[in-house]
Amino acid sequence: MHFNSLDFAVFLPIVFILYWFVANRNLKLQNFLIVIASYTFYGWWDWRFLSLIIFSTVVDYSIGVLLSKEEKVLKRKILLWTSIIVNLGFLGFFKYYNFFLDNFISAFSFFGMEINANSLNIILPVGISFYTFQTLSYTIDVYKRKLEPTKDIVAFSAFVSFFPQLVAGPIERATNLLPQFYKKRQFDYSKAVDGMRQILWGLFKKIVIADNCAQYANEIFNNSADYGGSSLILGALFFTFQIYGDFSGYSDIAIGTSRLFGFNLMQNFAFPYFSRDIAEFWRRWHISLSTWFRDYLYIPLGGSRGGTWMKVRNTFIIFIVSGFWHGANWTFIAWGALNAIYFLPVLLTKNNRKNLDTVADGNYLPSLKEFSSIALTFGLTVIAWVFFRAVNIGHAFDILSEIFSNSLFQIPKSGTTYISTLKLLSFFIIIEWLGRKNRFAIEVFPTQFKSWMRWGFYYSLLILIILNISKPEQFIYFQF
Amino acid sequence: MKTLFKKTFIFISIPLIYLSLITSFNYYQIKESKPTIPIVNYLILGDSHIQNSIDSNYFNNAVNYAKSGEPYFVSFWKLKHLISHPNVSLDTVLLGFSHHDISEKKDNSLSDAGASVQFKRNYSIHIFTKQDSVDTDYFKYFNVLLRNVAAYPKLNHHGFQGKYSRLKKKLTKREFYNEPFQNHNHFYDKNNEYGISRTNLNYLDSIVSLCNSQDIELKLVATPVSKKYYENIPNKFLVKYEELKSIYRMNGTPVYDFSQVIIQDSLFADFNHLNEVGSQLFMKRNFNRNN
Repeated sequence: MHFNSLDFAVFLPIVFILYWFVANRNLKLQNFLIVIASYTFYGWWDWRFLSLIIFSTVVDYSIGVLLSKEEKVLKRKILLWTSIIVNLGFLGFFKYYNFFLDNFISAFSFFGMEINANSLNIILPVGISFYTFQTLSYTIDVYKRKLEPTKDIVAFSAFVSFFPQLVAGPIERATNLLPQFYKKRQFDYSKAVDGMRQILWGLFKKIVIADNCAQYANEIFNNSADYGGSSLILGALFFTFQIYGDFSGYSDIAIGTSRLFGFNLMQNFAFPYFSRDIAEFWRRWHISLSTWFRDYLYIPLGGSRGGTWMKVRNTFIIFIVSGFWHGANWTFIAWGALNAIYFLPVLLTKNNRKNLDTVADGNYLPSLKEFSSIALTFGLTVIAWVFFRAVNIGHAFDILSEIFSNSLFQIPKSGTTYISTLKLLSFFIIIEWLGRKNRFAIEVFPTQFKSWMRWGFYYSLLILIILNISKPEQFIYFQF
Repeated sequence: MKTLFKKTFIFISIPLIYLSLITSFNYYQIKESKPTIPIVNYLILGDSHIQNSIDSNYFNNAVNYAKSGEPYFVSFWKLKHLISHPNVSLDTVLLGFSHHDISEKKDNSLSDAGASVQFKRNYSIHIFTKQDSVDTDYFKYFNVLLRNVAAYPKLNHHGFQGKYSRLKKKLTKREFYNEPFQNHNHFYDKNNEYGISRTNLNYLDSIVSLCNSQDIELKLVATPVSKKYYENIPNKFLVKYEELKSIYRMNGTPVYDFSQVIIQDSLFADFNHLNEVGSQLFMKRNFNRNN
């Protein structure tokens, strides 16, 4: 079920009413309802893959219980590795099997050896990369004794399958989300209104910004040979906003929906395109995944401790793994590696924690220095997205070489057709800038308006959403 | 919780009431107002081939209501709608029937990139439903309705119905040799050949039946195309076209195929549309003599 579908528009109010009016007196019943709702939400796409979620839930729940009873280090390690192998095994099979197979075949044929092996027609279960990492965080935290293992299978199932964030995050930590299933939730009016406002903004980002940008980004990237540098840079810009609107829009809807049910999820995007350096960008982009890799991969590898070589190695590992997490294609690996190259100078000169505050805090506009830093970081990010979106590495280089050619200064092909989308993007950037201090752009500033103005603003967003409704475009991150 | 429900209800009700009032007003307008049509008994229908080639001034009481990209299902709905108009008492319908009209591409007219234009032109003459059996992008249709029927009160809902258009452009030698070949769009989806249309041709049969039932003489016409265009029509379409021509002729519907009338390239605006000089010459030299 998509958030931007009619099915979800019917599903959400039904679950909301059942949750607060039927199951409100009993915590277990509320959690059970969440499990049923979540399985329905997921099964709407393909019920067969529910078995994977249920299996993962049972395995990690059982390992958690066994870890609570086990004191021997070796046995605890075996239990931890069982969870890691099961979870990453599923992920590896469904997501990476064909990639590794194809690359092995290519590598062997390069040395003149022919291998007969057939690729499998494997469907990638939606959200597998997200819930796998979420359950892994539970087992690792229990193993490290940061978290008491749960004895409540219903609460644990609800934690693994919680429908707002099941298929595209934020990837919640067990330490944050699981305890919320133990506590009785009270309906909070201001929290619910806040949630609805965030859902509205998320839908605007997805339907108005991402889907509009998608039609041009797809046209330009899919027919890149027909376009010159100026059009290709526009295509890259459209994709830059498409992926942001798409993914952060999904996160906003997920967080807003969770708030309607009394849950607080972590912030997943914090206005990344206003970052002044690449380290700040990575503190603001897909925060739940970046911090996951930081805590469960980068720090165990030694983090920034040790010599320069260690820092370089760990940075490359984390960025390449992060790229690979997005998909089984060399383009994602190149995207990760390029970001590592961007990040290293900032890290090695110890400037990676320079910009921790909000840009131009207290001012309407950034200073010239801030503006140039933002523009430079944004420009680097746009180049990196070309690798992310391209079909293969060669395609990415073709696009970049055309961008950095004389054709960059030509008038873009069918330039006037982009104008309305560019206007929408300008409006979007202004609103994001105005709300950059908050968790989402329209969290605070509309509340300072008089009520008629506030409603007028919400109606304007709603009208733009309705007028831009088209065949629901799948969220990009579903494929990851 | 009560406050939330109350405020949500009010928030949703205000636009709903507004939309309902405006929609009711606009539907009343659509129902009550009739398009302004001259008194005609000779109707010319089809797509841009007919629109640019057949000058209605050559006939008595005729109007050219052909429009670019018009598939047969739209022509059918338009014909049905016009028949009910008091100024229209048809005895003849001249309908475009060229090789590209039998291409599957036309079946996608309500679901491809140009679908919104079709909906905008025709929402006042037809309600698009699943019963039409045409692949339809209902999101785009809903969007067009929202903008044109629900957003604000509008007095005139009759979109552009078609008109003889005089193209001034000449196909230059440079274009002739260098420009990407235009019939690619009619017969190929990227590099894959389209199939033969099913939906569009079904509607052509419906037009034939409708004309028969109303005692209207139907004439099918293929207008001239450039030599280069004709030579590049995939064989499958040439064969099927000849087959259909025979079938229609056998069943009493005359088919006038002028597609291969040799006209020099300078009389075309592009590879498959006559320019004004070409069209006038065609009307005088070829069309009138036969009809």
